Amino acid sequence: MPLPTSGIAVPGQPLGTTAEFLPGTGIHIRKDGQLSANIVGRIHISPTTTPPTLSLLSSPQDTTNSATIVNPATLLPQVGSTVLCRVTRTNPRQANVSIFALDVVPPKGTVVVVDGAVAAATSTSIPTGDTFPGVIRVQDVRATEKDKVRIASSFKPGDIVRAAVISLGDQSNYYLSTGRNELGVVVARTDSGDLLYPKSWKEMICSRTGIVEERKVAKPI
Amino acid sequence: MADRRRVVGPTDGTTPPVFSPSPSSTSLPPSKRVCRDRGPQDLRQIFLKTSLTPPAVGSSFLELPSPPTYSNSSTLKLTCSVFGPRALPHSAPFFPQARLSCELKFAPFASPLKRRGYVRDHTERDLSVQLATALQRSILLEKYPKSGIDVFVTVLDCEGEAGAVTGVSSFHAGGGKGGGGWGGGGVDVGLLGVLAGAITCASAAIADAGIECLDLVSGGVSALVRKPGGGGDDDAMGQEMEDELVVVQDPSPEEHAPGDIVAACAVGYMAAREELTEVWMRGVVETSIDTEDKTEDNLDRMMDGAIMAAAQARRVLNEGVAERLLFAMNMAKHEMEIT
Repeated sequence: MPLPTSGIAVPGQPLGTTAEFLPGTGIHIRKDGQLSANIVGRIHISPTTTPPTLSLLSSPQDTTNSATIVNPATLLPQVGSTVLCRVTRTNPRQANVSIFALDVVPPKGTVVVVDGAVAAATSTSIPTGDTFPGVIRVQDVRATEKDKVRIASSFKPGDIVRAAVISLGDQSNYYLSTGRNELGVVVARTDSGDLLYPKSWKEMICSRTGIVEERKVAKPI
Repeated sequence: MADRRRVVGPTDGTTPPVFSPSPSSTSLPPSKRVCRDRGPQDLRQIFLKTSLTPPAVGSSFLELPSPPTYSNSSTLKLTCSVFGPRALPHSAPFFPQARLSCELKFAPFASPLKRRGYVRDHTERDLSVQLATALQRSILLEKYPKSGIDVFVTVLDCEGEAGAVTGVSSFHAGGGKGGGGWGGGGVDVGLLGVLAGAITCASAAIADAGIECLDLVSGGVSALVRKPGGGGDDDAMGQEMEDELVVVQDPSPEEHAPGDIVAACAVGYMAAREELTEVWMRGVVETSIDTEDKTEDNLDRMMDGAIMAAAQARRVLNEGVAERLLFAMNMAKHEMEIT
């Protein structure tokens, strides 16, 4: 099949051999060593590596430095990725959450591009097209003194939690962990609807009423 | 207060609507029938556009040119929406790959002859399964673990008997295998055209959604047609009959007299990888496995014709999926020039 004009590749199109290029995003290697396109995208050759890296960019804009292109609609939680989720219900063994945003960490020196627009130069949260069910088990709430953890004093329904995906989990839930300092509750409210602010690593305080509630608090940035 | 539990008619009565009798394409006199004015290897022009359904992640629309108005015949119009990858329902078991689910539905008004029901019938179920088979191999399902990709194809308009509820049962391959006597029946190629169009349309929508795939899949149809004026001789024997059968690409059921199409074949073809993902054949065709010269074999000729049709449709598909990005790039360039 002839190469189309204007540097746009369509899925299946042969783009070169493994001897000529390293495969970047949107590229797969066929059995015969041919690099082929996975997606519709602009052909971009980065000469920083030897051989140069060939990648496909689905954003129309020409970005001077290389970009991490994110398509929110096809974003899925992966093991190791950091997510934002909302607690839907709790019981003594686990907290059920629904994942609504994923953190995308671009490699050093690149920017994140969402829907053709540059979103951020550092880590950024991208809302997913759909929510995914997740669960934080009691042994995954924190890294130390796991036997003393109580779900009721860590999360309440409605809290927004930053967590890391530790497993794709069972048939329905992703398994999440908050066992790091920077992970835990980031937004919480009292029963009356007032915002809570972090007081210590396990307490949050309401500025209006002074009520102190227990949470597994994420280290403020 | 009005009775909300049942539909109450108007109190003063109405006149029942009187419609003119439905024109049947098969009962049209030969002069009214659309004539195929293109060569046996020429396809009709295909209109393909992506991203026309805003709520879907990816979508596409495919249309073939409308026939002349005097013929009362119809054309093929398809839309496809792709959703996903998205979370699977709670009851689905764990699966390390994406699950592809395809649903092909005829709109109630799709058929020019008969209004269809809303409930999925066996034709739609059959076509959905075949569409899923055709697309399954092309998508990199392992890139999207534990998720579902849903493909919905709606047939807005279709040709021939495909739209009629009779669907598959309209299969009457006339004649026996013993050579001669092809008379009677004939194969309705409408459904094959719908499948080939649906494959092309769905592949465009999947590429539009940004779902990673190995290759695009395009659909193609070809048919073995009795050469006009040649067939129908009662005393013609098998050997002579073969010479009278021509392979026609992209056949339209409106363009051939009923019974002229002896066999037809639809394929899903990944042109860049030279792989077939789907083959559907209808009708009776003679084949000889031990023939040295494969160009003489009707089955091979018909399959090759369908693959060539698919390869031509692929060129439209390539242009169609790249169009949106090309447009966005031109817009970005234009904005740069203004500022």
